[in-house]
Amino acid sequence: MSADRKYRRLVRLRFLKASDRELSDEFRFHLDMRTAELVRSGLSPHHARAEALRQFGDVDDAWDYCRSEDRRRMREYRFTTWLGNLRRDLLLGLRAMRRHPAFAVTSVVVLAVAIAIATSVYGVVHAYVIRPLPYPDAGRLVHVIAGPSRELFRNAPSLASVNWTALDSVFAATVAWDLDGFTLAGDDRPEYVDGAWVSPGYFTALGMRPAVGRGFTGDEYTTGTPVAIISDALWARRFGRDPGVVGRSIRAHSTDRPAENQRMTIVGVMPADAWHVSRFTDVLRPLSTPRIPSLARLPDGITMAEAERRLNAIILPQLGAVDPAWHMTLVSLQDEYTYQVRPILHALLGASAFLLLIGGASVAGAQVARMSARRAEIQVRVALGASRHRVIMQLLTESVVLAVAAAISGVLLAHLVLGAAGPFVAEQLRADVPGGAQRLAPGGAVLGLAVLLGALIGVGFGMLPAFLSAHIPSAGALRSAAKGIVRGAGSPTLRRTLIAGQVALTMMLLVGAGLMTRSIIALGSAPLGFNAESVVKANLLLPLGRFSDAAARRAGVDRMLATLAATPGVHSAAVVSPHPYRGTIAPSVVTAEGRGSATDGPQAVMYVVSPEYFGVLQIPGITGRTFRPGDADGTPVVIVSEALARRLWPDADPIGRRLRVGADTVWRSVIGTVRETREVVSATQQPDLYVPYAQLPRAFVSVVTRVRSDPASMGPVLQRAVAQVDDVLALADVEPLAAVVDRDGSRHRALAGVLVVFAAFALGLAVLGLYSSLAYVVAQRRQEIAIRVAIGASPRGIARIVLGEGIPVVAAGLLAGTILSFALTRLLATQLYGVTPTDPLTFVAIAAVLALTALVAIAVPIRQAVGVPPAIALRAD
Amino acid sequence: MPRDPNDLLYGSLDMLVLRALAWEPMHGYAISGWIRLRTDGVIEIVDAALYKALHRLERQALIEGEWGATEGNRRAKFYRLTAAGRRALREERGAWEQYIAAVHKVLEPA
Repeated sequence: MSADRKYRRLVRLRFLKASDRELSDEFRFHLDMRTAELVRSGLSPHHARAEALRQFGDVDDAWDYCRSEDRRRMREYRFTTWLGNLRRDLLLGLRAMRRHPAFAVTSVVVLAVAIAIATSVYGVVHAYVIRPLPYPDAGRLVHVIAGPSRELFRNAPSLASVNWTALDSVFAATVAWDLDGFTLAGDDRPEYVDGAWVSPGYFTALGMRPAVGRGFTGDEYTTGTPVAIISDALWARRFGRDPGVVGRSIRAHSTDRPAENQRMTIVGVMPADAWHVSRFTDVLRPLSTPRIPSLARLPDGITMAEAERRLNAIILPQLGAVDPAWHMTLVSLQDEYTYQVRPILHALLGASAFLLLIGGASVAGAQVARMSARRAEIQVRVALGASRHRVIMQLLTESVVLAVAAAISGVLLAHLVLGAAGPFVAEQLRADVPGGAQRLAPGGAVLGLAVLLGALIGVGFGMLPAFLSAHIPSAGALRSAAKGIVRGAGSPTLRRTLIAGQVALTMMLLVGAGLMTRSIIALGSAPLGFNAESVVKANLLLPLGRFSDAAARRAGVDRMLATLAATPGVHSAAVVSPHPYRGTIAPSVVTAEGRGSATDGPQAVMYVVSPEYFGVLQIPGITGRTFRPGDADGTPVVIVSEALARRLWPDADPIGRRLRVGADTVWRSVIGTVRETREVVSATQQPDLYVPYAQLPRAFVSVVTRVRSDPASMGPVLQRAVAQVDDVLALADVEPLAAVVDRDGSRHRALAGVLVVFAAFALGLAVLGLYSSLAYVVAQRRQEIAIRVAIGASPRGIARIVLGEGIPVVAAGLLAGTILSFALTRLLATQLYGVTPTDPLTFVAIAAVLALTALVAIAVPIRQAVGVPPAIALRAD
Repeated sequence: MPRDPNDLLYGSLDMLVLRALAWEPMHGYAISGWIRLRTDGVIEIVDAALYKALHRLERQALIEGEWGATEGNRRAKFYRLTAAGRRALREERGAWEQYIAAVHKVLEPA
């Protein structure tokens, strides 16, 4: 490169960026000076310039080097400035908080509580719905439903002849199980435990492995193999964790498969943390025949829809003529496990989101009011040369400090709550936390995210007023600010919107809480149709080994009931199957003789009961006769509830008519009617139908005993009495019947309780927000009001000013809240009982309560406004 | 083979620049002249290296550049020592003197 060209390049660089131009100027100055020096020493200008360039050395290299050094310096400079500003803003923010500790503390507490609630609820949702179930690759596990939906399909085909082994071509693995109950006997402590017969897939597809001993071998999955795997809990409870338990032989009588051998060898013990998706299982036994799978694992690359198509392509041709609407369905295992709790979780998640919004809005509202009060401070800053950017940054930093403090304390609080609440939540939701109660507390990642989100929400709400009220006032405004006559009040629209929004959201929470409360009241006052007080309920298995046929079971039950009735403290006793309020009882289709087919009759829940049942439960309204001991050998009989009688024979006396239950071929004569009893809340309420135990002596029954003293303390007495009759009789799940009824409402009460707490918190915040906003308006207009009072305005006129500010805002909020509630309460529909989602009474009552509360919040500032003597108010500021 | 005295300067160029600016604020051209004058022409700094040193020192916040007018009323970038630069010069100088003393001891006839 020639000297000239180099020089020209330097000159050309003049027109580059400012920093480059400076560098170019600096180099050019040096070269000019050197050239001039060389010219003075006698060189021609041309040669002097070439010599100057030569002496300079590598210009390009120096240029690049200097430029990169300059850029680095600028970057570092900007960063240090930013850091310095941040530090100053933080200090200012902290100082502002110290100056107004009430504001800071209230804001942090409100936000922290809202964030803690939202995080806790999210933690629960995460544990149930989001985190995969504790099985390997749990996302590929599906639940198999034998029908188009979970609802009972009236015309479902029989699946008895289906060859299930063909499913191996559809799924990577299938898991079949058959829940069962076992009476453990052979010592002086007969005990009834839950159990299941499981296919090999239970271990392979779910990644289950015994912690002690071994699993079942392939050839053990055949009928009659006397082996069992027990749970860690049973191992501890019955065998004191004796390592020699493997190989030990126990007596266990199966409920559902009484023909299977009673004596079996324990081959393994499951680990303590084994989590069973069905229900807790103490005894596992190998399932022999290929059966309809409960679960299946999708093969790689096959979607659930595709697997469902292939499944039906295999099953439907085996069934012959089938209702075209019938097919089998796959749902994800997680979906199956959580479908009952999801509506509640979603309702809670929505409610906590509202609460977070309300909390944010109330902090933002307070910020707006405070910002207006700090107008003078901001104006002074601007007048002294602070840029708009700097002012906003400073206000933002204050919000960040508040929000981060709130987010961290809120999430920590949530962490503590979730860590302690696992068993409680599982009990209230009546579904175990997947993987065990200790898995409720979310991991660090979730908590970190919660802190981040909480802080973002806090900052978002803090930013709103910062941006909107920092429209930078001119220097002229400074003078008026100093005199305190600025009326801008920050941004009145924003302030009003925030309050109205709070009122609207609060209204929605209150409506939700109100509807749930009404549901609970309806639940509590809806007649049960029986008297659960002083009744003890227990489950009992009559093992086939001892009670091999119907006559033996009849005799055994008679003996046991006689023994129980003679026990001191017992009033009367009966057996029933299933027991009332058991839930998940599939109703049967009832056909009246001479009417309709077996599929379009009404549905009813069938109970098999001993004659004393109606007396023990005090079911009223009996017409005709009840059962009697002689029914055993007589004609088949049945007692129907009044509603069923009306459905079957709308205008005729039911007594003496005949009906058939489900696929049963026996015609039963109606001998009497009784009142309805209620089933669990979640179930569709069906009429009842009673068949005498003597005619259908099931092996698994419930014993209901009316006692004279506290039912909770009668368990051991009853246990001993029953064990006297036979040493294989063990009462299981002994508890007051009232507790069973009570538990059914627990989900609703829990949801209602939480919503009421949320709504109360929201109402408090709304009142606080409304009050502080109006108090602020009053303070702002104090001088105006004082002048009015001084020139003779009545207190009523003053009240009108404040009301005029408050009432439109509240009214707008109530209107919006009503509309939104109408739209959203249907999400609660599945959780409501005895009340519609748009129940007018609830809506009107809630609106009235909210309006009244708002009036109180408005009344206080009015009193303050009217009460100040004008002379003092005018002198203020 | 005779050695170029500038070779010895490689590590000490920054120190020389700082020393020059401790005298008084100067622009690059003046610094080069000042060093040549003070060393009786023994040390002559390559201009490219000098400017690289100046911008490096400015980035390190040891010196500060500011545009001003020369005696001939031309616009030039004047550098002056910062407090940090003054401290650095003191330390460099101490280290340098120790080094020189050590080298002397090695070179002295036994």
